[in-house]
Amino acid sequence: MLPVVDKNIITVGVGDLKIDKSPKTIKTSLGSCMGVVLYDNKNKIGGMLHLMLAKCNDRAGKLSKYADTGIPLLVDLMVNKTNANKKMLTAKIFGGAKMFNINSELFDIGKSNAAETKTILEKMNIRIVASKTGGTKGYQISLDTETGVVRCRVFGGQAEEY
Amino acid sequence: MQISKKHMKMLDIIVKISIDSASRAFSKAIKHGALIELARTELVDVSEITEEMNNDFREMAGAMLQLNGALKGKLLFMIPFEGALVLQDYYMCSPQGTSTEFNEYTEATVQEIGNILASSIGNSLASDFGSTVLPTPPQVICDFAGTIFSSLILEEGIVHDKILLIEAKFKIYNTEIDCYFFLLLDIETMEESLSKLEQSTKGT
Repeated sequence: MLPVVDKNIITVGVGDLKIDKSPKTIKTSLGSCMGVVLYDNKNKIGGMLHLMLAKCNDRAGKLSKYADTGIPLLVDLMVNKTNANKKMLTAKIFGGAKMFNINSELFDIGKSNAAETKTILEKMNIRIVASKTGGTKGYQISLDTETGVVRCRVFGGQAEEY
Repeated sequence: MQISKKHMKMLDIIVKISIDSASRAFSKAIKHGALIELARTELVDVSEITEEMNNDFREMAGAMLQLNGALKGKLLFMIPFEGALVLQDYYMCSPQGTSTEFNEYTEATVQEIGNILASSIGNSLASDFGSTVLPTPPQVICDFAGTIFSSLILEEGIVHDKILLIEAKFKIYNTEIDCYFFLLLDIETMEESLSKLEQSTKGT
């Protein structure tokens, strides 16, 4: 696909996480997956998690795929590897669309991803300062680690800042 | 998830023949040459491949379907919106520039191309493996490239950190249009099919 030429732009893959500081921009594309953006305003450190499912349920593989294991991992790495201050962290969450046209609550992965993400963040005392979730179309999000502003564009719409 | 080097080599040859056959079927359908620019069969890390795909912020139309039978998998044909309009004109034998906006005809064209590619690939794989491969009707998705691709790999990606991905890039002759084609094979049924093929060639 198209190569990225700007070294200041970091892309997050599915089920992965990235952490960096100003002046980097961290971006990803989302469908039913959730994008969790954590930001330390004082140290200008940002982290983005692209989670696929709500609960790990002892599955093997990367912890960053799931909300219940990925969010604590993101916080841990931000605090212990990049010296972000946990008390300063705020969250912005995006995605969780219903990408598959199946008429069942059970198959609405996006909805359960969003619900679990909110629960975990609440348990960890991290305030959600902005969110845009649900719908049936994909999201593109990018975090400016200098300002903490997340630019979000839902497919077919205009980009908005959060 | 493991696949032997020997099986990977066998699969690579079979896939290249299938992609070549699909490329010819594609060219025939749009009555215009489509050149294969890239064809690769790789065991890829889900996060790494989607990182690559998420770099592409273009809006695309994709036809996605499942392959059932002795060999299971998923197939995705994806093209940027502006390319789909050109494809529509070729497919409908209209002068270039006739189609100016993405509508149900464009969607039907993408769906039909997905169908043609799946049938061609399915027949080729079935013939090589001596088994049945049945494609489901294609579902058309219009979204960002990364989002469409994530939908393809979501189920496999939840279970495994690595997936077996076949990627091909077609360029429509005399245009700037690139089309992307992905085949995601179920490792278990593919290993069974390759083992059977290996056994049958030993006897010859």
